[in-house]
Amino acid sequence: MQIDCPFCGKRDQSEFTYSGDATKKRPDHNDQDPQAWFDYVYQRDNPKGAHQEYWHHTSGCRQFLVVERNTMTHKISSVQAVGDLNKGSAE
Amino acid sequence: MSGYRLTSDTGATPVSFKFNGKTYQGVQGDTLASALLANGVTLVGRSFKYHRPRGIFSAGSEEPNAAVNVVRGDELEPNTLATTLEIYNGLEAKSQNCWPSVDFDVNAINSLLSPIFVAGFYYKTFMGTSNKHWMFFEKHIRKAAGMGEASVTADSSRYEKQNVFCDVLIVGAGPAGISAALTQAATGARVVLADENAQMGGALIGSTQEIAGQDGDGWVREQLEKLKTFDNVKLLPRTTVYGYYDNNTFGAVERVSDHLTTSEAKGKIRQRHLVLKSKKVILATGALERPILFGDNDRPGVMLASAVGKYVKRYGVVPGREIVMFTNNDSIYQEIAELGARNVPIKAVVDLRDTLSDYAAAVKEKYNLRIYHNAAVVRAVGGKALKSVILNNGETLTCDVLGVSGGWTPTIHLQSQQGDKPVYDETICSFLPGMGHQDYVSIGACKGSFDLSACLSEGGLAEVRVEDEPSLNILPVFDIETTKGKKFVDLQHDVKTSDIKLAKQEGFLSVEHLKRYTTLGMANDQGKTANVNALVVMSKERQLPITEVGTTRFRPPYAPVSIGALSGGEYGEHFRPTRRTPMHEWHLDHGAEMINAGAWVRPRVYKKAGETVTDAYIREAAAVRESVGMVDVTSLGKIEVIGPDAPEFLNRVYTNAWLKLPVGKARYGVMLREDGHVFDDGTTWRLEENRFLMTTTTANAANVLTHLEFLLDVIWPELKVKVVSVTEQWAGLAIAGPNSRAVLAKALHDVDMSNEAFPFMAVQDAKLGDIPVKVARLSFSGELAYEVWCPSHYGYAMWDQLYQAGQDFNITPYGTEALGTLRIEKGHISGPELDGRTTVDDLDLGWAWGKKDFVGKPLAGRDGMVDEDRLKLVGLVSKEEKAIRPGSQIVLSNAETTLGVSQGHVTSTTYSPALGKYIALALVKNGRNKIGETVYATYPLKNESQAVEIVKPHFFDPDGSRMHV
Amino acid sequence: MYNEISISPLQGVLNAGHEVSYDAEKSVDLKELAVTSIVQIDCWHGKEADLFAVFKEKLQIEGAMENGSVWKTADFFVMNTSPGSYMAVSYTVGIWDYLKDLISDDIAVMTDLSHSRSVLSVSGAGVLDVLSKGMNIDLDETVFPINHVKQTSIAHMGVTCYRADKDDFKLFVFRGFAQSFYQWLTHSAHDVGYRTS
Repeated sequence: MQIDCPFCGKRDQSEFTYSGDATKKRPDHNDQDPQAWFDYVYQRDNPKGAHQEYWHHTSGCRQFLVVERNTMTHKISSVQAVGDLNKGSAE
Repeated sequence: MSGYRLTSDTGATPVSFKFNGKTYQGVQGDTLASALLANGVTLVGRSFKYHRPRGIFSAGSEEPNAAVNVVRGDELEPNTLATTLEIYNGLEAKSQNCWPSVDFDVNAINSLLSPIFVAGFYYKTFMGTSNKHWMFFEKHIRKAAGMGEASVTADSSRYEKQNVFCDVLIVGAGPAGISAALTQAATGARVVLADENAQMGGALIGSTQEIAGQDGDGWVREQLEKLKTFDNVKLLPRTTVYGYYDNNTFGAVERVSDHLTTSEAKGKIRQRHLVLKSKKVILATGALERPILFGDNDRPGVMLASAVGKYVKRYGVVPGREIVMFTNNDSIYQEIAELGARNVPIKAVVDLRDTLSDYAAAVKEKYNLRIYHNAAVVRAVGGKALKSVILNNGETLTCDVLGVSGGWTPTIHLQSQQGDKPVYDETICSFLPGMGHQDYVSIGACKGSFDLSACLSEGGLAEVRVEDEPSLNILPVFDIETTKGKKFVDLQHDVKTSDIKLAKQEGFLSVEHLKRYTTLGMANDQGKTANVNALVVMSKERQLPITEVGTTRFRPPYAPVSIGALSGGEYGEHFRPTRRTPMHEWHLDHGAEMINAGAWVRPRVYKKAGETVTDAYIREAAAVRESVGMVDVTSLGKIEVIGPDAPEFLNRVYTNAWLKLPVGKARYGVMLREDGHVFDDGTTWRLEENRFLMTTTTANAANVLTHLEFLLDVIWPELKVKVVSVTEQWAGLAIAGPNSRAVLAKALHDVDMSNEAFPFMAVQDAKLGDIPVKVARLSFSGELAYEVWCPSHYGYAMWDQLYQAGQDFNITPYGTEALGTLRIEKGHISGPELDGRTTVDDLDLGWAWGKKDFVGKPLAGRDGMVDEDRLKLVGLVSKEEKAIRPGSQIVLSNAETTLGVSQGHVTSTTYSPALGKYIALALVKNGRNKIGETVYATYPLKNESQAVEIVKPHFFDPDGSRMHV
Repeated sequence: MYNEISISPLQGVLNAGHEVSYDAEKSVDLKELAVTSIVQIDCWHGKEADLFAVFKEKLQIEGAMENGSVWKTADFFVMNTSPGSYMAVSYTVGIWDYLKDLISDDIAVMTDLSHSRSVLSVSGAGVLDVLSKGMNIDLDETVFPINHVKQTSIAHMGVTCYRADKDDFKLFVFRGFAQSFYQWLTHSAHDVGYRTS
């Protein structure tokens, strides 16, 4: 599998580390509700088809990427850098 | 059988080789198969199950029979195909799967028992009986099973791997592939053209068919010369592209020196594993001829008709003196024409069809052929060599070669590997590639275009003129009715039509079940000449059209790949990289025995003459507490945390408080995972207001960095913090013991080493000669101790200068064993206690629990995480003066030492020189409330157990006074 | 910069003047480059343009602000190794103080990495052949232009790869891996031949 890193270009999967489900929203840092944390840390859907996930470009630029990958075919339909997504919302 | 060479005057260099101990002559360019045929050799091996005599069936990598052992020095390489092995002077090959010889094979007796050795034999015979029966027969069956014999010596060849990127990858250099290469090269694209053969040209090699006014060889030579003028073209002969993976990625093996003599090959790479990535792919993989099934169709001398043609055209070798051809289609007449052009006589043609096409009629006329119409071969006669064939009309034709053509099977393995479902085509009675998922096209014979003109035009050269050629005109008869003799479908795995019938009878209807139950198509040849005929037999049995029987999916590799090639150059010292500290050579020069800590290499102990590892670490640990020692700690992870929000960030990731840490001070920190378990620990130093240096354990350095990067990149992008790994920037050592201060006071300048000026946990800059150093007063050993760090290139000099300065105090270098002993004596946790299942409270670090929010806090409060009955950190002291084995389970009574309920386990153990006892750290259920109790540490795998006393984990100097002097 | 107390990780390992089947048509030249300073510059979000403006004004940088580009001055060069992150390198001068004055804290932070890398120059006709045995990226000039930098790995070791010219690469690896990396290089260059200087 190859991932087209927005900074580094197309790279082999071995340069990246899978970093979890990107649809899970981490509760606020000061949220005390254990159920919300339980859901964030443990509960996962297992979709057949499109899956949004984080990949860390560990052997390259070390950005985190949000990748939409088809869990059946491994075809990747989109790659975005988290940094770029955040820039949109943060600034 | 008497094969012979057309002319001895070929101009080619003679080559001498050995087969089954006998020396033969061949010529440069021969394969072992063509050379053996030229020498009149018929019998080359014995079949897998029945040990039936077998000869050469094909002229390529689809060969099911002629697999041999090749002797390479001390090594024996099994399962090498004689049909692809290029001979060289000194080649030594032997038949396999036969004993004592291929001529007289004891196991041929299996053939008599063949009614018993049917599909599902093992299952039917041994299922339901006790395991004892199977275990008794297993060793004998194992000895009789298998094909070649594997070598037991290490492979001395050199292999390597390489990555190749291109715009267009073309697999197959027959007419279609070569045309495509020329067309693509002209666009300026980076083109790679690969072919499994040494010679490119495919079916055009040796062909007399006119193409652009030349014969096959002439045209191919001209095109290859043209291709060599492009510097954007890479030609890869002798390269099998074996696997098609996602993103147009391919695996291939290039046989670099397999065809050279032992001395020519010396020092050279033997095989090169290539990973090819291409934007576009053109598959021009051709087609393989398929046989017709009839009685005893496996006799040596029964061959594919096109193989007969290939040996004549490509190698100038005629496989026999009396050749009969058997066909259901017109392609055989093209081969016959090629043979005729070289004056090779054909005794007769047995044609299943009733009429001849114009093309076939012309060939018959020109070469005066005797043709039997509406005729079939029902049985081949002969044991170790073909003697004759029996026709359906009862007539017997003597012959030593029977060339069989049952049509052509497009080679669609690569297409199928990446999920393409093949589509049955009535006009060729075989399967074509279906819809692909990836960016590739199929051209030429592999997509059913068997005409040369179609191949050329699909490759982009439509304008090239070729001489007339026949259409396939196939009659779909592949399986001749007969009651006599065995009809083999899969020659390599000895699977017969009767096995397929049996499978269907027993309910294994699906093609996937058929394959696995009969093992059809599962040998090294992957059923290349068997699969489609098997579907024909199955479809007849099940009375279904062949399209409904289904196909199995091809898996890589297309042809066997050696493990050596897959490993590339990564063996021995190149298996994985080694990470060395700047003091590495010093350690080796001073007797260090090294140990791996991940990629790092660290001193384990510094052995003196006559010492065991245990002697050494006891001496080292004692010396530290007695006077002073030094240990290389360069491998610890170090991360700079920089920015105005750095204190807040540290406050969120560590359990304890960070906002008020003064500049120039260090603090111990504990980090949790999101699920509340302890992740890592270390010390973090505040170098400047907004600059911290975080240390981590060696093992977790990369994980902690990733954890921090994730939090900053994804979760808290609003925090103004940067993290930078500086592990490699700094070389470090710990100097520990009552005289550590004295050594540093002597060696360092620009720093006040007194207790008042340099309190516990302070960090200061200093100079060691000309070397700038950072000194932190931290203690892992529990002694008065300091860490001294310098920029890495100075590391060796720093270490050596301090070692020299410490001579007056008998300074002792110590390794990871003594490092462990010292911290265990103090009850300090490390890797073995941070196993991902422990909490802050379990490890007695409750003092580090902050009031603020931090990563992991919410889930650390779950009932199961705070249960008093959890395993808690305690110390153990041996009551029997025996070493306590790490990993031992704790049980409450002596009666439970072989079978009992575990109360916990031992994590770290050592002999303690300070206490004169064997001690350990352990995690024990409700351990903190069991201080003083005697329990048992048991290790049933080694039948060891002993009584131990539970104590507080801080064995030595529990108030920690020694660090504060 | 190496001397009696500042020691190269390749001391005794890479010896200049060593030749193995050297052929200018297909071999590679291997050389260790002693670095005087390496400074990592990390920009705050959205401040990359400010950093570039500083460089353009003060250093007369040639070149555009493009992913992976390398900017050169007389004494040092700056490699854009990841978004907002730059590695400034000088073979001859110490650039920490100079950069500290130039770049304010609200644009970027800096870390001294001068001792953290071993730098090998690999050049010559065989360079693409050799590097492709361990690097899994396309080295064609259309994909990896001259004066660009790519971070990737070679034989399981991270590498910052700077293409100084068509057949001239400067490879920055962790100091701790220097010897393993050099061993890999010579092992892989065995086929095409090499010489050291």
